Amino acid sequence: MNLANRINTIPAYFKILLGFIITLSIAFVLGVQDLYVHGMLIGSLFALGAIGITLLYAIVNFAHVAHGDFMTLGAFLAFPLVASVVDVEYVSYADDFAFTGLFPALGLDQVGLGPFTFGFTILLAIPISMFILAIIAIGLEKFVYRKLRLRGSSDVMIAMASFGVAILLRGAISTIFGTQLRSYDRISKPFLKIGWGIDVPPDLLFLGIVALTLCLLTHYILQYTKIGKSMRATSDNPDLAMVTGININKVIMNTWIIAAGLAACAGILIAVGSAQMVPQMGWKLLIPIFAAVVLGGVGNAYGAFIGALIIGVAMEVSTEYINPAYKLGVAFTIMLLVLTIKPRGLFGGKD
Amino acid sequence: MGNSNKILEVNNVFSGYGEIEILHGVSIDVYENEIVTIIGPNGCGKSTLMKTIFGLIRPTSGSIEFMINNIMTPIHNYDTENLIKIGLSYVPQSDNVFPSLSIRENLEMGAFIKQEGMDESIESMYELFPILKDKKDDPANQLSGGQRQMLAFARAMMLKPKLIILDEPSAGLAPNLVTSVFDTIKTIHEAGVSILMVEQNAKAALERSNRGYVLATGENKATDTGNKLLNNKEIASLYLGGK
Repeated sequence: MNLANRINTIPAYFKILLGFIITLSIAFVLGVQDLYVHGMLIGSLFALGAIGITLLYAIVNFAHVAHGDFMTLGAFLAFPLVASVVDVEYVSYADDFAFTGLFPALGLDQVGLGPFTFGFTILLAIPISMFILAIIAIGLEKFVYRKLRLRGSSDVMIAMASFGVAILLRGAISTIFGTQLRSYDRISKPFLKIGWGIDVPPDLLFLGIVALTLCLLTHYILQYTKIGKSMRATSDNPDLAMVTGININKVIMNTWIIAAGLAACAGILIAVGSAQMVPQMGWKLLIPIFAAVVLGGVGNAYGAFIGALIIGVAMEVSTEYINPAYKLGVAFTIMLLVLTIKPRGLFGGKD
Repeated sequence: MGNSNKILEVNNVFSGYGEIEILHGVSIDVYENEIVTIIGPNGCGKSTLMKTIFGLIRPTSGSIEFMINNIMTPIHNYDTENLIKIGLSYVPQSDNVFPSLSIRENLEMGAFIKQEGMDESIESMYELFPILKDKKDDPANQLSGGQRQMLAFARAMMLKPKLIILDEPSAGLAPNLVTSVFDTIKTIHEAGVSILMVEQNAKAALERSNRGYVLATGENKATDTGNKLLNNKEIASLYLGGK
């Protein structure tokens, strides 16, 4: 048995675990373990977006360019729930809507829960935002994407239509909330010292755990539920799925609901984690997220998850050595390097 | 009752893709517990007929009736889910398993519209095809060509249909596997299901069929028992490779 064969017989999860341990050890040796851990946590937030994009590609067969703006919209949908705009610092027509957020107005505890900058109200806002964005996604599918499919538009045309939807959503967000920097109400909190030279903001740790929980939930849905199995079957072979009585339109709807829900949650978590939100935030994140999707193998949800962690770590660790402005370039360089060796991504995708 | 009950009647059906008409008035019958094979040259409309019966293509005229509660009922407006509910099942010619799903999950997809009794159905398929049980957690893309056909048939059997439609079950298989596929067809037939198939491998199929139809240029050319068609010199020379 030669070496290549031996490597091929190692199970994928073992390789991933090994890769994780080796790279973490290298990070310790180089003294960048702090950035590595940050990267893992940020990567897990990217994963929420990447899984949605890759599932949509696997089942609806097009690159959903509006996914970044779905994330932005998710973050801004939570804004009127948890945030209060009281001080008008910049003169802008958009600040005419100065208001107190719904939950603070109801007298619910707003900020500084335990070691965190935010209050428990954000946890209430997440499912609400996920729900609203899922409904918006269903509307877009029904009135835009399905119509295009029925008229026989190519996948590229539908991807371009989603580009249009992206611009539309961003424009709507800018018009309603203004274009200036905003954030949910928050108070500063000290970093958490984990030891071994790793300090993380407690927020980020919490956000990472929420993101990982949602990824696990998605894994459970895909592997063990009727909805998930019908999604995988449709991704595998839509014609056969149809003759076994699976309703493809229902499967597509379920995919939109899952992808939009994950995107809304990702948007809120990123807005909390970075303590700021602008209408362009999701659009900019689309680049590393697409890199994660391609890196893991387009259409492969598990690949997207691992790809997102790799991209997150690569981007954060790179800031130790080069100007942080080149973070996105690093994400793309990693993706290109891997693709030259494995053209279908690390874990193989869908043709 | 026995073999005399008609379960499918296709009467003077015209059908095709868009503007292109492929079937110009085809009629066939299938009775309970029969194996019926349709043979004919390439492009004669065999697969189109199968797709039309299973509602994947709507006929432009003619009738398709199926036995529901002992009454022949027109089914040409039924959607896939309803066709499966009344006891029809279809196995496409190629790509007829879900490659990344496990064997067990493939079988589950066969009973997608009705989850009750899933475990019992799966167990009875494992009894019919023990090899599937041995590999139940492997993805279907690790099966050999013959085993894939086995899985595809088992998937189609999950809801205990009255009639299974097979579109060229031996297509694309190595010659030594063809016999094993026909053995598999015999196995599912003995489990109590009627079979309507189209087949390129006309001789092997007709030998195992109660009756056969010869289709050419979208029209019925001949019909008889399997053996009589095999022994008919004119048909043999035209459609069975001249032997």
